[in-house]
Amino acid sequence: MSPEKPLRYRYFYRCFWALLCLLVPAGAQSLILEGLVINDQTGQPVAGASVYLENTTLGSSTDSSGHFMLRIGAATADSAVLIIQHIAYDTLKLILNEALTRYRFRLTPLVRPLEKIVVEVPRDRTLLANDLPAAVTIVEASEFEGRGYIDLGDLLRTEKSIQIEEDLSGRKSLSLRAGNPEDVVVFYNGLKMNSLYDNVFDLSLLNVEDMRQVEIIKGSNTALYGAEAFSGVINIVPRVRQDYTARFIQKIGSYRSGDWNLQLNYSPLQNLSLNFTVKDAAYKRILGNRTGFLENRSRYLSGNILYEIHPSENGNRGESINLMYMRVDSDHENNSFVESIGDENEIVALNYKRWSPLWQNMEISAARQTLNNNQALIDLSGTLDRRFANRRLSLNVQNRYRFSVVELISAYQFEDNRLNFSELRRGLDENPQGLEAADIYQQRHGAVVLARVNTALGEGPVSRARVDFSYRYDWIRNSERDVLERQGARSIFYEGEQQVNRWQAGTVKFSTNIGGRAKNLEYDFFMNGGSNIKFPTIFNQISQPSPYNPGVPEIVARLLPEKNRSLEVGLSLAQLFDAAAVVNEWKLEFSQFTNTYENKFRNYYIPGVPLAFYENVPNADIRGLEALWKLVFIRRIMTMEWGARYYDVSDRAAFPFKNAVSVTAALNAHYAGYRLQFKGFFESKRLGWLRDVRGDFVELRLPSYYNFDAHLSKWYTLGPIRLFASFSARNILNTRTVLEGIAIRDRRLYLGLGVEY
Amino acid sequence: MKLIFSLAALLLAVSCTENFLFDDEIEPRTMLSVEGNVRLQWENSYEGVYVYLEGFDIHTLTAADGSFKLEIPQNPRLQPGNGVNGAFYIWYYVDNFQLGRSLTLVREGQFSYGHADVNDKGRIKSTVVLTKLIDIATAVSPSVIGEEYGGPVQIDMTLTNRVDSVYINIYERKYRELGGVYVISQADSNDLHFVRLENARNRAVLVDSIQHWQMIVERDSLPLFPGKYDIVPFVKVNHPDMPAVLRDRFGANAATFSREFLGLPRRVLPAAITIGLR
Repeated sequence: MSPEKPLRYRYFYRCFWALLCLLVPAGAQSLILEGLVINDQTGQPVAGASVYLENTTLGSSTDSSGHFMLRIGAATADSAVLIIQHIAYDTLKLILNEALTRYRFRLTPLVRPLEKIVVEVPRDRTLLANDLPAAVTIVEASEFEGRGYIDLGDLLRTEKSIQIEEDLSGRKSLSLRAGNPEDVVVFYNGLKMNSLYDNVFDLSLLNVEDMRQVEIIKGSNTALYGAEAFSGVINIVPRVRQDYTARFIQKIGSYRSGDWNLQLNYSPLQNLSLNFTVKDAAYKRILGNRTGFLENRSRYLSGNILYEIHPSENGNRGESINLMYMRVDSDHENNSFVESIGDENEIVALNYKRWSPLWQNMEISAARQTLNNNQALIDLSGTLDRRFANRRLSLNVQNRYRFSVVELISAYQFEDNRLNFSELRRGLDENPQGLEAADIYQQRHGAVVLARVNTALGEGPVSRARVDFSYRYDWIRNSERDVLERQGARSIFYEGEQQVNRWQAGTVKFSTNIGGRAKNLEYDFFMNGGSNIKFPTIFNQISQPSPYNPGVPEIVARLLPEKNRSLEVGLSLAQLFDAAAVVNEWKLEFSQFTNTYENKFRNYYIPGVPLAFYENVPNADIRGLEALWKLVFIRRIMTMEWGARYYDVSDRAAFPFKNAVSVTAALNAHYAGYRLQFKGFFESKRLGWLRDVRGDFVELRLPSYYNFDAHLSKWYTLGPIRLFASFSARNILNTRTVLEGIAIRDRRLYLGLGVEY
Repeated sequence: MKLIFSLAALLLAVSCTENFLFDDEIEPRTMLSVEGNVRLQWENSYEGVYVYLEGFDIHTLTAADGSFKLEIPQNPRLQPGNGVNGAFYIWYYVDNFQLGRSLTLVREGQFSYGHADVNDKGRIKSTVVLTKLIDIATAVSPSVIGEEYGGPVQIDMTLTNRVDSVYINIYERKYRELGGVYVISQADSNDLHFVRLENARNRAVLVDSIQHWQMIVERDSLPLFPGKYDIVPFVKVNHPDMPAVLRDRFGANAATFSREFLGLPRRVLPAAITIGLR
């Protein structure tokens, strides 16, 4: 027997156990309470409401469509009290006996909801609750937990306004609305994750099982969180406090992937909650003809300590302190030649919130982040050793003050960044130029004021109106220290501070939003616009200005901030019908936007020169149309969604390989704990301009692509334990469209099993 | 509590980060090379066409059947920027033929097969045919001389244009008098003699008909040692559309009457002279 076999048997046993769990039928004789929780005023479903019996541990929560299912032991007294609770609504209490006769449960909002539909401002504890309204897509945990998504990039792959690029190492970058990856700012628990070097974040570093929801904020209308998000923000809201004690999910799937995730929640005191998550994942892709393999491993740890010094009834007027820790280690190995890539990402963050009559809502956050990336590659043609060590210290002070219909938000943000960078290239037949190593320091300050008038005008065709206005000012200082430059055959070391770049700029934004209801047709209209600014990244600063090309005199290399102006209008219509009708609801969303760039950077490389070149296009623009149609039918059991968008990019060298058209279709159904999801997507050809030696461009068209995913999952309740099983099939049509991004486009199958206590 | 512990134990037992159930393979395509075929008009052998990939600055010569293969030498991930993007021409060059080119698109350090002039299999879509611009024929008389021969040798060169008109550079003393030729030993190409007339210089000439040049060389100017020698005239065809990088490959003096000129790929009929052999 080969030494490998016992190991294999062990895995077989594990998988057998896991399968057994799947097959265990729902246990003892018990009652099932099923229902739909809706907003009393709008009739919209309420997601994430806790449903439990008083003085017991028995509980459940509503999913994104407002449904819940609660299994109650037969011994439970009829006089037990059912509680339905949500942070933004009045708590509903009723006798179980009475609850069993009902299907709909109505919650009264604490504050009358003013924004709706397209302009869905996430309300509780999330980063963007206070920012200007924008087109938001929220992907909730119930749509992805335990399913076959290997990381965040894999999850967002099928969103219509998103394009994910993946390279062979599994690194994924995201672009939104035909912009570039550096135009998207990724936040995790309110902390900016983008690399200091090129302002891009590798989405494969985040654990989807740790997320409560993912918010995709489209458009450049965020004022509180920086002026750099030209095409949008991805905000990840982690699970800080959950209503279960422990949850374990094991996934296995294609490419020998295995992924387990354990979450623990513990509240030793009523106002103290502790939360801990650990995840270990790996996948291994064997290269054709067994010539080698690609292996990816990652380990993820996170923990939260939330102490509510003065717990609040409505979620706002309390005092709390939250300490968060997160660490990800990820490794990639390619043994067809010797290549290894390692990432270490660590965050420690402290957040303090307080409500006082004088200042009202005050929030202070401080964080320390490190992001290290090491790449080593040895091949016949040479060796490369590249290291990035990012360190970011950040402080964010924010105050929200409200009097009557006016709300005033002011914030100050400070970042102190350090990047230690080195790129050793050896034995390569090339012209040694550029920076080999440097320490780069960056300090930035941002101050913002946001004023909002928010009025409820009562029932009628115009029942709500809102106007927002913001002004933001940013300062930035960059300096290089201890620079090692490649110059011909030798390297030259310059000690001390070298180049210092300083920039500062102010940006203005506005937003208006009106909505109302005519008969049972609800409408919402918004218009927003403003200016944005993005300072040159470290990558831009260490690149070489492109030689002047007399053929295109307007294109000159200018190391100055990129500017952006945007204007977006959106309209949404929704109609709600009686729950007994075949069609319960339909919703139509439409938006049109224009993003105009000034001084847009274009970077390129020349073979044999290990140095990037940059030039600036005076004007470039992206125009787009987005539409969504959603239909909820058969007692809200089924939801269908069609999405389509069209983006027109003026400069395909500045925004290369964006697809113009994307169409998505999704079908969701849930019944008796089962949930079925189908997602189909089509993207048109990706067009990009490639530069030739003379500085002219040739268009390259990459093929169009379509495919579909299916997910089936089921929750079982077994006394205090809930069991979960899921099956996911990704990219079911095994098309022969070959592009980079192999894991994203290949047919893959996943099995997920979970248990929750 | 007991339940939690037993549950935790069970969970750790079933946890795994590897499974043998889905042992899938991937086939990332390596598209680091381009192949193709070149033909020379009016020629039987297609050997020695200089094939050059600009940008990457790599070259090869065609085999007798005209086939060639160009390969990007570096692993894409070792290239600047983790893989270069760009549009690069492959140039086909034989001096007295029209310059040819094919467009290749490179994305992330690899050729994009199925785009521009490259087909899905990494071959240049159609056979490249280079039009002949000019025939260069040389004759010498007498073609055999004894060691003690003391008379003059006459070299005749005929240029026949194959297209309407061709701009060339030749070494000329006066109208239609050839000013310089290379005399190269057939046994050893390093045994090279420049034979030039006084006051001759490099001149630009338009060839739009069959044109003849003549040169009278004294025995003293020819090699002393017996042997067989090729007589090669200096005729450089003008290629205004030739990229500077390709021009530079052959040296700065390749367009002048210099040793570097002989490094250019050409198709000429040299005249042979035999000295001192019976």
